[in-house]
Amino acid sequence: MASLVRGLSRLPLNKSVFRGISTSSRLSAVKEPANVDTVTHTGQVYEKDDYRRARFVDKERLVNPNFAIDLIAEDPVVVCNRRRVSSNSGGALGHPKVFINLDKPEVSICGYSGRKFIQTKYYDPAKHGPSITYEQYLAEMEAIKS
Amino acid sequence: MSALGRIFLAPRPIYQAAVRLQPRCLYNTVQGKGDFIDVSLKEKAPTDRTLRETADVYGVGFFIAELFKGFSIANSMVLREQATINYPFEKGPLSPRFRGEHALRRYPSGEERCIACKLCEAVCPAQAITIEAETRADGSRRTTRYDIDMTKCIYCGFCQEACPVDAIVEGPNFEFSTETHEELLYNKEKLLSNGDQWEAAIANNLEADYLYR
Repeated sequence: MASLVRGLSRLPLNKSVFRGISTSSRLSAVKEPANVDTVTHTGQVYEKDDYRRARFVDKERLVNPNFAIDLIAEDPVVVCNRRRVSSNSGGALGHPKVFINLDKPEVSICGYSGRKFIQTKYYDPAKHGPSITYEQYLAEMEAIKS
Repeated sequence: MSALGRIFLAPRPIYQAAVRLQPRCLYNTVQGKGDFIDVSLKEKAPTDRTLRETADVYGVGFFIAELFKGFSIANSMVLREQATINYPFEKGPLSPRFRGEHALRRYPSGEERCIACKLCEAVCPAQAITIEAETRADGSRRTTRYDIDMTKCIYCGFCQEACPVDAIVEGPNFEFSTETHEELLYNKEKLLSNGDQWEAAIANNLEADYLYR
């Protein structure tokens, strides 16, 4: 008898929407962390009705606040007098050495480490931001060289 | 052969013939027949002892000298250096080549090292790594997804050997047990956070070992 009453009480008599199974929006309404809507550096965020939000119930969502795209944007441009420079980010523990042609009147970026290089004649502080010289860059690489 | 022979042929004359004619390798295993040398210390019969030997034997028993000898060994162990360590607070030494929890490293400028070449994904024998790549907003080629199933991973270290830029490394951390299986499905956020946390130790280990890799 008790089970019959319990079963009947679940019928959608006074609810406008009846859901046969518990959906994510209901689950996620239980206790979601504050950072569940934080966008990660890869742009990942779940919609409000995404069932995968259930995995953050009672859990903190791990979001790394150090976005590489922002950190590398602050990196100064390396202003070079020569047409061709090499980038290897500090020898054996850096990346494979790549040569970069600086003939174009724009910032050339190392595909591995994201360092920005430009020739002196094309460098415009207002447009390209802070800079270091190629010699300073080499000294920096020498310092982290193993 | 001789064991079975002993069971079935023991009371029969053919057994004696077999024993006499058996090769030497079996002959040596027959009890009481072999040429073993008894090297055990023989205790002298009481009638053969000198007075001094008798006094020694009874003295050892009377003054329980053997017990004191045992106690002295136990006491010396108390004063010696411990063979164990107080584990969660002390840890044993680790090789720089130790392969523990994975981490994604960065350049000193903060840029991610991984350029999505997918060599680690290709070399992974357990196929635990999943990578998806896309051009980033500033035009560089980076991963949008870098997942490692730590429950599939066999910690062989092929991924860090394959990596041309030392981006994926197996760090010195071996204490990453979790309560659920899902927590061991690492995504890029987790791996990058590991790298940020363990960078100093990982850099030291790579520095110590790079000439041999």
